[in-house]
Amino acid sequence: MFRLAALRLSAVRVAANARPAAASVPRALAAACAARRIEVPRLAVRWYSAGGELTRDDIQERIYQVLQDFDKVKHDKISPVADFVKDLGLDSLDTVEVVMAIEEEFSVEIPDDEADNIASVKDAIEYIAGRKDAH
Amino acid sequence: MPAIEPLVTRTSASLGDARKRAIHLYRLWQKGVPQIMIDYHLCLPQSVVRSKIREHFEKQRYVSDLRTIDVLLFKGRLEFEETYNVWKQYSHVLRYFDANERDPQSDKFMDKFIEGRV
Repeated sequence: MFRLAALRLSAVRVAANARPAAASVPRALAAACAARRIEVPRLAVRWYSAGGELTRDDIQERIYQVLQDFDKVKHDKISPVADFVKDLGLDSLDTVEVVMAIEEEFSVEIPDDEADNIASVKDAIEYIAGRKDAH
Repeated sequence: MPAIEPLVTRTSASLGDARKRAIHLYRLWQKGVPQIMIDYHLCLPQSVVRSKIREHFEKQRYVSDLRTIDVLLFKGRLEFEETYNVWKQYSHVLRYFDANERDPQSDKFMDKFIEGRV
């Protein structure tokens, strides 16, 4: 009986200690690993609760990739400010398909009204950067 | 089973409005493709289904009469509703892909002969 109570108490204490220490765990882990000369994989430092790492450059690169997969796009004209219709030589139905491909790439659902306003690479980057659920 | 809400029929205010509605209808069709393919067990590549939809829209590309466009939009929406709600059957959907439904592609004698159009 006494042993059980002691065990429970210690478990509670461990949990209480663990919580404030959690934030410094990556650093502590890295320090411990450095002391033992173990290679730390970079991913181990990132938590599930951390924000997405979608930077503007990432978005731009992935949108370029989407555009390059389209045969009708003029590949040499792709730039951050290229207009889908004027520069890339797409028509309105192609634009719909490009926007759908972008949706799929970033796993977001773009409502009709907002999808209508995406007419250039710049618009697409702006829109995806503004969406918190894009990844 | 997926179901879409019925839409109140309306007329387009201007050509710009009609264009926007056409684009919305096109997007609706294209977004529905994966579900349609599951519902009807279509043994076709997705690209074929998508380009068939595109083909039907391209057919009406140069229609400029507003009232005609409105009727076409209405029919397109109706067709989508019937397809997406699975009010059609397998053969009705396959009829889109029937070679005889296709516009003649070539005027050369041999092509016409092989397709039995001579």
